[in-house]
Amino acid sequence: MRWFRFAVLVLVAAILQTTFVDMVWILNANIKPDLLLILLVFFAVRCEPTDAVIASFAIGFAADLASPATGFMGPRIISFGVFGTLLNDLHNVISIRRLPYQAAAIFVMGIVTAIASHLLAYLRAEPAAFSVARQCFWQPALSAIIGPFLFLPLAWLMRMDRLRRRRHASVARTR
Amino acid sequence: MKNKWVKTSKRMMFLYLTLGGLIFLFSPAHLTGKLQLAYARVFSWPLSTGRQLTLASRTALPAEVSSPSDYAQAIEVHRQLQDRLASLETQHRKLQNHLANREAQLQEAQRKIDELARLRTVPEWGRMRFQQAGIISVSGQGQSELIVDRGQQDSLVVGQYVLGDLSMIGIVSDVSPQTARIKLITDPTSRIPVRLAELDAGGVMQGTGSGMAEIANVDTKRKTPRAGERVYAVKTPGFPGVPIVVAEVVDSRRDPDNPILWTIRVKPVCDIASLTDVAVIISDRP
Repeated sequence: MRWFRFAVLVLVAAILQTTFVDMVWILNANIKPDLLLILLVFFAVRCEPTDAVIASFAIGFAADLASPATGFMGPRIISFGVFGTLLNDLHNVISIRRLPYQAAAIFVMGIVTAIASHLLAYLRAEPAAFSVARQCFWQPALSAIIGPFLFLPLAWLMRMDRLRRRRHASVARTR
Repeated sequence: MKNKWVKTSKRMMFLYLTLGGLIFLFSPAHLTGKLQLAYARVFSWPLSTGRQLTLASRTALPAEVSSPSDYAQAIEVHRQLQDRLASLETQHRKLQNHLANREAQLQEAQRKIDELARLRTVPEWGRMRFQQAGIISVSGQGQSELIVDRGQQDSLVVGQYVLGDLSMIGIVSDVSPQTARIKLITDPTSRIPVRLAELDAGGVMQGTGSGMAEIANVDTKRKTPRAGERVYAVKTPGFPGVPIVVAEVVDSRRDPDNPILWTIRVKPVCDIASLTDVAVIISDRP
């Protein structure tokens, strides 16, 4: 895992999420793709298990830092971390390599992380405004449409396809 | 062995990071808020540039507040707008007061014009010059003196007659550069020659205080004075050459020593208590 590139990528995504992504919206100015959600799914399905855990929590941290849904941090650190780890575990059982599956993974992850973040915010007894249609459908759907097409440049940038190909090749040689 | 270490490490890593997330979750908001603000401060340039570009591309839409830097900007803009609003409200209050003053001045001027025009309706009074004066206060025993807001600078002198509601109410008794005192006809020291037109009789009206006056030793030529009969001020030095109503008869009684003579009690025809301004007769026109 190239952590420096990862850090730069997450930082750029966090900045873009609060600036230029605002220009990309459909139907409503609040409905826009979640770049950090796309990164979460990408790293959860492409990284080694431990790296995936760290990356998931780190992306959640960036999400809470850059565009906090509430006045405090934590809900997205935990929800991104937990569900990113679960997705990584799931990826060991079900391969998520085809575009439709990746889109579905982004969509489902968008829904569950949104709900989990909202429920965690309730633990602080400071619930934020929650729009079911926007946060549980439109935003994950938009992210799911855009996300798979970003995976290719992301994989190239992080040199992950090559790594994975090498890993698969070494496993095949071992067999 | 290696795989086992990695697996354990993953679990521990997950636990540590989850614990870290929970610590963040239950940390005081002002501490985590500082972290968010630090991020916004460190990356203020790309964030603000991106924000400006975004806003420029969405000029038709309201700006959305979604990051700490946006909140800071929104709060700053909000504060500036509040200051501007407070300034405008102050100016608005001043303008309203100025307008109210102007309106009051206009109404006052209009009222004076009407009053003077009303005085001019009496042909003989067309030869006179009047000075409108506002009543500042009522003073003296029995409320028998008025203080008005005109004085020597407005050509008022002692002895000038004063009109109220087109009737004579008193005489200027003292003047200062900007104010004057008016002794009302009800003042005990006031003595004015008067005439009862219907009785064709004359006398001197002297105030009795408490809003009344008396005309003593009136020879009514065997007529009985009637209540409501008009009493007019007669010609004296400085008085216009026309009779001016001054009072009306309230009641009368015969003099016990001389039954031919009557003592007549009168009251001003003008409700002095409700007056707000008076007209001082300055002089006859040539």
